[in-house]
Amino acid sequence: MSVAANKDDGVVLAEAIRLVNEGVEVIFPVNGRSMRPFIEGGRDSVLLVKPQDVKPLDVVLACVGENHYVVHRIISVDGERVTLMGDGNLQGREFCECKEIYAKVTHVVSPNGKRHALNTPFIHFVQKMWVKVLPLRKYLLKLYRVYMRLRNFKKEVHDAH
Amino acid sequence: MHIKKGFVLREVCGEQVIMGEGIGALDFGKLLCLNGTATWLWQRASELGEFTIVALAEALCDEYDVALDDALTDVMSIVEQWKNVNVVE
Repeated sequence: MSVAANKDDGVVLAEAIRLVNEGVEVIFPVNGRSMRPFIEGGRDSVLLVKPQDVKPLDVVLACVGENHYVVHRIISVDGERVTLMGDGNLQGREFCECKEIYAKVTHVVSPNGKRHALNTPFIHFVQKMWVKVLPLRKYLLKLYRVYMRLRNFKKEVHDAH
Repeated sequence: MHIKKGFVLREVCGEQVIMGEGIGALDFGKLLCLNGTATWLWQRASELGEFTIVALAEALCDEYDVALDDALTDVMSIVEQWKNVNVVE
């Protein structure tokens, strides 16, 4: 899930990171499909807070290459080395150090402003299962895409009337 | 009319923007960028507390060499933008 598509976005992201580091909570729009089905890029935003005690299953904003920032889930932490993976990815993993994690995502924010907490026991359970069923992810994501198409089609029909 | 509580002018990446502070998180998806005139008007509106379009237009005329009609048009347009993003009431 990309958060800085061009140079200007990078400047804005740097400002958001600076504010988060000051202890300010920041809502930031995200792009891409790599965090499906939990975060829909181009539609949802994420609530970023200063990262403290990051652990596996947390969703974080991290720098995984030169000026390459992602909002992905932590798969494992081995000392200072952190492995990340997008919920909507089938294979790709990213690596960074703990110090390259700049924010933790606590909520997903819908376009209507409604916040969906990621740390409720139910959501935590669902996300844990999602990581565990990695071999089935391909099929589950296909089902999700079909669901999204049907939903969008239904909405278009509804709007047309 | 007055500026809603919690909205402040801040410099972000060299631009003057209105952000909500103390009312929850800062939303980077809903920043309102202000040009020079709008920034100046926001500062006057903050100082005045309760303000009217005419009061801001007159203040603009006092500060800059501009006709009252032109000032009124500019202020109405800028305040309309503030109303649209819900930062004044």
